[in-house]
Amino acid sequence: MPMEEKYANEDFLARWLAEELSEEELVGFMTSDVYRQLMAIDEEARKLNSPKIDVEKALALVTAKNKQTIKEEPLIKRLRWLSAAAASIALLFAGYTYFFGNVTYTTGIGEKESVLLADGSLIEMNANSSLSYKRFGWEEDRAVDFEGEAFFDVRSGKDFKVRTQKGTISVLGTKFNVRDRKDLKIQCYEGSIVFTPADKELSPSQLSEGMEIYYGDGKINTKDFSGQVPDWKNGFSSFSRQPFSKVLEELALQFPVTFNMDSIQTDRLFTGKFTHNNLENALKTTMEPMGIKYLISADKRIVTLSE
Amino acid sequence: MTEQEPSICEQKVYERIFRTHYEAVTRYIYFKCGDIQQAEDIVQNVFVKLWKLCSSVSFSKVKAYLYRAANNAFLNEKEHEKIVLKHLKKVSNPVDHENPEYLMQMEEFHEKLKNAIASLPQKEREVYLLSRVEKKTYAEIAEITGLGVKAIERRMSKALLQLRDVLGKELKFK
Repeated sequence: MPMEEKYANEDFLARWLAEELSEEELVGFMTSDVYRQLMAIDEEARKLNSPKIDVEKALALVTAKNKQTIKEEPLIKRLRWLSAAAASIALLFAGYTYFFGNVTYTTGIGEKESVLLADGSLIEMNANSSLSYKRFGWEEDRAVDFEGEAFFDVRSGKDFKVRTQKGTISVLGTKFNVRDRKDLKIQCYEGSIVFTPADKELSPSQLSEGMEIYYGDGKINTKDFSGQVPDWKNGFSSFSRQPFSKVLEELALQFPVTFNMDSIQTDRLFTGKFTHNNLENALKTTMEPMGIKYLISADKRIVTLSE
Repeated sequence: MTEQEPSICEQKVYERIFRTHYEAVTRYIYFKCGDIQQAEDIVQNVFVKLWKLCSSVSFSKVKAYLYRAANNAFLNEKEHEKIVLKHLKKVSNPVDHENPEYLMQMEEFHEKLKNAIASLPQKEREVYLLSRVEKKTYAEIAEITGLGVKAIERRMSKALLQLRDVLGKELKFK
């Protein structure tokens, strides 16, 4: 009986479900009555069937309701209601900006967004980034103005350009990550790319798969890296022997917080990672290893740090 | 907002989303409230709201939006005092060679099981049913409920324990 008690225990079962039991524990468990009881219950439970739901009928109901609700009309349509003169001036202006204007996407602190371009190229933007390109003529002139961090998956075709303050990246068809914060970092995941620095003193560099360049303090360094996708796309940021100030910078990009610190040494090196979806977890995994105490204000805007 | 993504404001796109998600979201709410009519009402209202907000919800996030909005709507409703999962039917066995006495015992056991599931706390019940009836993985359930996989495993373990507490004595092994 004491054995049975051991198995009929929340922690034990949770470990079993997570497949964390040792071989020995598993064998013992599988010959127990608890296990047989659970299996017998499970067998019956799996015979249960969800209720039938008539999707088409529900869709008809919802569609009928939708027809009654007045949707907010887009701006262009609303202009109809203005007087004719005002409308035509507005339309001319709107038309002008529409045809010759740019499409711009921006992400704020902690936001991520994917942009699919007309040729099927995909740009996945990390937090606090902005991207803009000409509304028309994309196939002819594949160029975007960009700042922040994003992962580019470019379809093959004409030359594709990413223009940043620090220089231009040209590619044909490939996958790469651009991180243009204080310093610029470009990682090439597929194919090859050419980076032309805005500074004419520096010469262009070519990168092939598995190579990254780091452009900071007026110098360009090339090295190899490994990994299939940038970490931020999986919802975390990771660091390897980086000054702690970089970690704080990145935290402030992913969470709308300001750091209040007096006596913190931010030049110590940090290796580790933090998640983007939970401030407390992120702080816990970064501050605790560094021996830093933190306090989050009630409105979750200010984090006070102390040794 | 994203122009290159399909716009939910387009009837066709909206209908596709409806057909893809309506049933699964409704069942999810049903597992919470135990009332299929109430579940359908909640989820239909969520879709009406989605139509109104179609320009501000992005296509790639619509699944998460639907589950979250339905869950919020459910939380705002008056809680049912007693859950009866009467719409949960047993898959009938077309050929039965079992002896009648055994069948009767199984039938009885089946009723007890349904009652036991119905009396699980809501959090454990929804996880249990998503796993065993909807056959979803823990990772999928974590995505739907917005919790971590560890939390799901813990709720599942609680549910299993409680079911065993209630039903274990019915099952004797030699």
